[in-house]
Amino acid sequence: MLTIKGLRAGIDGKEILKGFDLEIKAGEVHAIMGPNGSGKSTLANVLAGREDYQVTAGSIQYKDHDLLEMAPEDRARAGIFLAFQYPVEIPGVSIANFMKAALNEKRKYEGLEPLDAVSFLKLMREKMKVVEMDDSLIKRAVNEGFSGGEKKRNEIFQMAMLEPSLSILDETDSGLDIDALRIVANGVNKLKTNDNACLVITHYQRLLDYIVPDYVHVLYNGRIVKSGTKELALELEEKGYDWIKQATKEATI
Amino acid sequence: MAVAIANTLLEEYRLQWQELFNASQPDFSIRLAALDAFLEKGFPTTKQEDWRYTNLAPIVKEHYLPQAKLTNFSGSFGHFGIPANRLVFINGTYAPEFSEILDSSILTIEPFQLSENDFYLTDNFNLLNRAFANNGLLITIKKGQALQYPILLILQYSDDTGRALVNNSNRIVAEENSQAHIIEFHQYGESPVFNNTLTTVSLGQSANISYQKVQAQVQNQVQVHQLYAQLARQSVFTANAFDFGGRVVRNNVRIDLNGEHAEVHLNGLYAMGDKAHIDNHLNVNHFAPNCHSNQLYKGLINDNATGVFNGRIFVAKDAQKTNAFQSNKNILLSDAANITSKPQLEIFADDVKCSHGSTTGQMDKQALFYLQARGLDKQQATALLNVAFAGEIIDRVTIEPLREWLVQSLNNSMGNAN
Repeated sequence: MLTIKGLRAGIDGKEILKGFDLEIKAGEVHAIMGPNGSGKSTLANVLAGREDYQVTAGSIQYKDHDLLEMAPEDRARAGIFLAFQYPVEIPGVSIANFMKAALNEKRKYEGLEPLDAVSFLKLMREKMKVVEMDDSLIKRAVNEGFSGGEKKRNEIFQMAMLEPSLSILDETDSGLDIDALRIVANGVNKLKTNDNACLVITHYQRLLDYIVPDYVHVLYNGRIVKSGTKELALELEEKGYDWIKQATKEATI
Repeated sequence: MAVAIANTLLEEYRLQWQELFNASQPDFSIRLAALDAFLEKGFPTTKQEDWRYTNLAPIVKEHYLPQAKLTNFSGSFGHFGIPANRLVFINGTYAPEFSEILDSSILTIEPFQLSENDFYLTDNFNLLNRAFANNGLLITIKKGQALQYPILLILQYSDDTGRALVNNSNRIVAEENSQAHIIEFHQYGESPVFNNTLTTVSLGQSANISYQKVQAQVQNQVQVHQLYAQLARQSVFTANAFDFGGRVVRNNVRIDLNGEHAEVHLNGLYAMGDKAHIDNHLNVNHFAPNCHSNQLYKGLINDNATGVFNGRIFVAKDAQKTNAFQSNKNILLSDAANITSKPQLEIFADDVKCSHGSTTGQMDKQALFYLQARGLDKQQATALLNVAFAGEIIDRVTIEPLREWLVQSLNNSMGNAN
């Protein structure tokens, strides 16, 4: 589904990803872990198409698309979903209106008619249950005055609405208490199918207790320095990142 | 040279006036005095502090002349699809054949006459209006009555006027404890018109009036609009001004809070592109204690358009326990767009709560990307954010079809027709 080869990218002229490779197949859950500054958020933003980031080398193949040639909205319509680390507050835009516009764009892209009001409302209600979201939130402005937990739940609710092929969860566990973490993770698990894939970007292992990855990759200094299974995450939790840094340094020497 | 041209123009105004009015008319001498006073002052220049940021010189040079006669009109009017007490004015003259009053037992209209006892402002455009305005209405909402239908004033300009200067003048009297919604809708034709409109609203004790000014097809049009409201004890006045472009639009709003516990809410939205220029000058006078005033004006400015906001709050020495708030928020959507925002507080009482604030920023890039990352293209995302920003003002309109029309007009003015 996704093949990243030799990706070099950065921001403000500073290179952050320095030859990044990754292959994700349908039905898989991949976790990317790494210390602060290793390039985790850069990866998420480059995949979603944020213009502030410059790609200087490498390629990203998504299904049969050259992803780097696509505008952010086309990536979204084609099934890429970024759950933001810091969801943006948008005063004056209700969640319902926002999701209606987003969903209908995706449907248009797929050659489908826009959903009528009744079906849309029904779908919203159904998907809100996925993250145990309160009905009253749908009339509220997007993320405005939401708690950290509500914002992250809203991200997963949007994911449920848009049914992406590839979901990228960027530090979705940050700022969540244990109950919210469980609800958010359950939501993600419920959306899991054999046809979609998930890239979980996280600093800590705790989210991976709930969303169990098939593969764990350690990102350090802009490259994947170690890959393994979920046991690798536990090892990182136990030992921290220093041994990885040390090992990388020694390997470079 | 410029002076010579202007003088010639003013002479033409005098000749035109002499054709329109004669000594047999009861208010002849009042008009003549206003004319002389106007000719003495001429049109304002940017040397006048109040007109520093709005230059009328190029427009004055183009010779907009007061109309000698009523022109015909056979088109149709925008109604917003609502039943209303519809009062149509064609090039400033009341047209009963197009008008209809639904609340006839509690709403009366009559031609208004100028009187020596009128309180009027003596600035250039009020004098000009007083000299020339003719065939407007005195509209009275009867004591203790709430209109079932809004009053829809349609100020229609016809296609064949040439460069006309149209002086509209209407007076609304809301008697004690009465209630009404008023929409003043300016609709232009093909001809470029300079309209100098004066609307006065007098609120009796405990009256509650909401008033909205809207304009359509405004691209090449020039408007100087004066809204003057006097509020008696415990009355509540809400005025919403919507401007979506215009060659030059100048809104002068003057509110006199004359009775205790009166309340005024002034909201404005100006959204424009191209070379439009919209200038809002607000003047709120707290003459009585325990009154409340609130101003919220928001601007979306694109292309080479320019905006001006000047909000003056005056609190008289005796107007203790005044609450007066003012906020002006702008988004500049292009590098060439420009806004001048200026608060003016003159407070002579010592026990008051007054605040003002002004912000000018750009479109929120984070929000734009967030929307794009969910599948909206840049144009859709921008339109959604524009409507969201403007929604704080538009949502204050309680008439639903008008709200929809406003959203549509906003999108059109921002180049997002849909």
